[in-house]
Amino acid sequence: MSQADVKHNLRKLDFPACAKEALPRIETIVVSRSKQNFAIQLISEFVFMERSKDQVDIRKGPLPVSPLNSFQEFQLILVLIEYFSQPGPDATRNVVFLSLFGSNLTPQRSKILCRLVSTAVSGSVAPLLSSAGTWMQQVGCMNQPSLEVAQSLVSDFITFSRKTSEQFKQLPMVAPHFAANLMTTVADLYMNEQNSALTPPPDALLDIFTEWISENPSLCLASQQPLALPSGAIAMPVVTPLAGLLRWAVLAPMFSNRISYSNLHLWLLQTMLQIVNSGPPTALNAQHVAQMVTQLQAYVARLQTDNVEPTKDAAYQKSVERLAQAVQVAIKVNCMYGNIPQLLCTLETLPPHPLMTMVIKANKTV
Amino acid sequence: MDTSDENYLVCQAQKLKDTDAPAAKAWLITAKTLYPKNFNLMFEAYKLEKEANNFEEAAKCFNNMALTFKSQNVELWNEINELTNALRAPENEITPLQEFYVKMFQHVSYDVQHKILLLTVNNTENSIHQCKLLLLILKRFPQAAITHSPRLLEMIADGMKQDPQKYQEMLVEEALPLIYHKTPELSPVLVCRLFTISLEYYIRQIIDDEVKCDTNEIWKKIFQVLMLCGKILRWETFLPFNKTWGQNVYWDKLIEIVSISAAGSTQVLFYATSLFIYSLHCYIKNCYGRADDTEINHVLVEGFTAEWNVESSDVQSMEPPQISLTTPTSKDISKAFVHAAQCWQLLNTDQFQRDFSKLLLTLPLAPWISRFLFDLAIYFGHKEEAKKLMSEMMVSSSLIHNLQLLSLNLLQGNMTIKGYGYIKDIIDELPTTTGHILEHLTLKVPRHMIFIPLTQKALVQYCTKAILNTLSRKLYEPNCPDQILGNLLVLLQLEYPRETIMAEQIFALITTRRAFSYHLFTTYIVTIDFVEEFMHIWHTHNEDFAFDLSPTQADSRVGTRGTEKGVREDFRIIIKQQIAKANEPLVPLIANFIKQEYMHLMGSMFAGAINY
Repeated sequence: MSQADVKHNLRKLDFPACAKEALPRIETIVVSRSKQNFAIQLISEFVFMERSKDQVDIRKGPLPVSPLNSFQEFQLILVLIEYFSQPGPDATRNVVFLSLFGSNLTPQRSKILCRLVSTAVSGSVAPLLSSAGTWMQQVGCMNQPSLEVAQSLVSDFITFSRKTSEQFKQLPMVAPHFAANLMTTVADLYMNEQNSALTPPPDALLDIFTEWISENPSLCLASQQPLALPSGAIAMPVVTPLAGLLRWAVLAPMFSNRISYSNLHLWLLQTMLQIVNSGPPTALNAQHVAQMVTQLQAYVARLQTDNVEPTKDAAYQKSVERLAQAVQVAIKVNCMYGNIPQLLCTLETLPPHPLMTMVIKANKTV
Repeated sequence: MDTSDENYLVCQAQKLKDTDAPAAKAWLITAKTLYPKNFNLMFEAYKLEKEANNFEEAAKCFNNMALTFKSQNVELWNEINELTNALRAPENEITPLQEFYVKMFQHVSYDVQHKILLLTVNNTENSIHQCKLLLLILKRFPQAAITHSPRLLEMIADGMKQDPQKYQEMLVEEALPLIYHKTPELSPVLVCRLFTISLEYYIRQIIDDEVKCDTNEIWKKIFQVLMLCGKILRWETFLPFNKTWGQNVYWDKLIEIVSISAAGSTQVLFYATSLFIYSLHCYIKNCYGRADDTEINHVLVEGFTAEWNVESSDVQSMEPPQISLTTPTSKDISKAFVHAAQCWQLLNTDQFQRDFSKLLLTLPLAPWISRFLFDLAIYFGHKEEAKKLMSEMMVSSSLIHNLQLLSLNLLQGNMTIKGYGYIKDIIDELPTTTGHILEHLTLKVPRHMIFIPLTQKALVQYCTKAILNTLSRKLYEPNCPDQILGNLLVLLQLEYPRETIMAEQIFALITTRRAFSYHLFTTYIVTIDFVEEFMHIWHTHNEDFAFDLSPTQADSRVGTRGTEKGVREDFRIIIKQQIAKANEPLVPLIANFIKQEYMHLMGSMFAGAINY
């Protein structure tokens, strides 16, 4: 059947039947890894309904038709959930997911993606969440599309939810890889100096993450699971949630005395103790740890402006303690990569603290 | 190591312990990575988990401490003591702290568990306490059975020297049930020892209170232990105990195992010994019956052969004789006896003899064995051995003893005067149970044995048979006196109408004599057919036959024709009298006959004999 015939046949169908029919065709094309352009056309025209039926000529450029209305969006999400729930190889699902949402993520597609993932979390649709986890890693956990999905999940399940849903609590069980990547991304949303003010995470979010990790101390390492991708595809680098969550724990004393941070910190240390490295360390980037030092220095600077001795500031002391503990354990279990000597030098620039001094001393000599 | 640094770390953790436990833990985790060999840090971490009742985490700390510091450290040693005390504490009065120790112990690695226990066991003075401690561990941690049970079993085997009963009981009632499903690797010597100990324990139980205990249950347990030993030593599988199976089922299986085993193999030794004792027990149990039971004691005695004129002493050391059925239980008895005998023979072959006799010495089987060996000797017709064994045997019942002596006497050939003496003793001591007249007392075989039940009828029948066998030989001597013919007729009444041939011979002989004098006639001849036979002889001789049948009739025989009428009348009266007595019970009658006419019979049998 020629491409024209395919389109001709699909055009005879109404929405969402055409989306439903188009998906298997798209799957065949992307798996065969030829005529990718045709797949892009089919996705655009029959899944997201981005082109009018008579304006198929690419040279004329896409003419935005009226976007899908809420009901159609809902219908499309159902079609996608159904499609991704079908049995089949993970690699195929992942490549279709990446084709749908990987490039050209228009605001409409982004919105649909957020709703799709949110719906999948509510319905515990494991295969779809697994694909979403792969997608996050491939587009980058700290990149805008991932951040948007993460932000929308936090809104749906934490901010606008009086009680954390059971489905969200069970997420590590349903889709551990996705949950780990979600933590990496969500960690980046808070207490991040790139945002003008350091905002702490919502308490409920902190609690749920602590619960996730304490119940499953190797969850943070689930990011390192190999991805199911078609042969030849390149997996993007892994970023575990360790660095981001450690940043929360280290910077938290400046904002809050909540014991939850103590717990989170403890479980992060326990997570690191779980690591058995056979190859080079991969879990924690020394550079990410060094960034925390910068934030601590900024805080020290503020203290000094207020004429407060950092060694007398309980919050600062606690932060440094946690940082020192994390560095010590990370080096000890050999889970930190990057330039460790440089990190130790950076740590030396902080106002002295007995534990930090011990840690620097212990690891410099080694 | 800088002690001030380590103290600082411990202090920081202690400061936070109550307000921020996770922070305190984080401190200790860090501290442990900084100073991994520092006991105080580890112990602090352990205490923190212990106080929070986190037995799993505490177990990890404890594990590390135990592996790193052994037991030189006082604080650690105290903890170990607390822990073992908790393990020993009775489950229903355990304190919360002890409960913590018990739970923690379960999360400590096997290696450390083993170390701690052995350490404690080794530090316990009394070996019975050591055993109890080990038992307790096995009960609490059944999964540890494979690791710890060999040591316990060895200690129990050692303890047998001090207090056999206590250790036996501990082994059988407590230790063995723990390893049925978790069989450890044990040395063959130990396994054999354990089986012997168990066997001894169970046999003593059977012997000590035969009446109260359910012996089937005990045999079930013995077979269980046997199967366990077989499993450990990877023997060919024997059969489990099933009270409905006869010994032959086990014997067949044993033979099958023997055929594929090396000569003198331990598996055959133990299987055969078990089957031997099982058969022996069934044999003894059935022989002795039970005092309060309707069951009757049985005694193995020589049976009689049909060729009464053949010297029975000629047939010895041939095939073992058959055992004829007498009572319903005699079937089980002979089965049990034959299988015990078969096992005994197998176990007394060169390959097993040494080990088997050693094994027997440890078992309290003497009373059973001496009875069995005597029976075995007479079974195989080994007279001399039987005599020797008889002299060594303890006499528990004079009736049984006399019966065995009689049987032995019969085995030796013709009954002697001494043998005849036992008959008197037996008749004097007849039991109260009436019983039944036995079948198959006499067979046309070279030799056979019977299990005679100790009842009036059976015993009188046996004694009668013995006398008849001796007395009947006189029948073929020329001019056999009327007295003997009469006595034979009296005795033949007991089994009448069996063995009518001899009676017919006697009557034929009487007929030819035209005169017959037997003054005991009126007292002892009551069988209607015999009485009628006399009447028949009388009639066929036209009443012209000189019968002298009554003590009171003594003179009338020397009569003339004038007194003839009186004689006729007397005979009719006597016959009439005897017919009236026809329903008189024969057993007491014959018993009485033997008793009253003891000397008279002796005279008949041994006149001129040198058979003493």
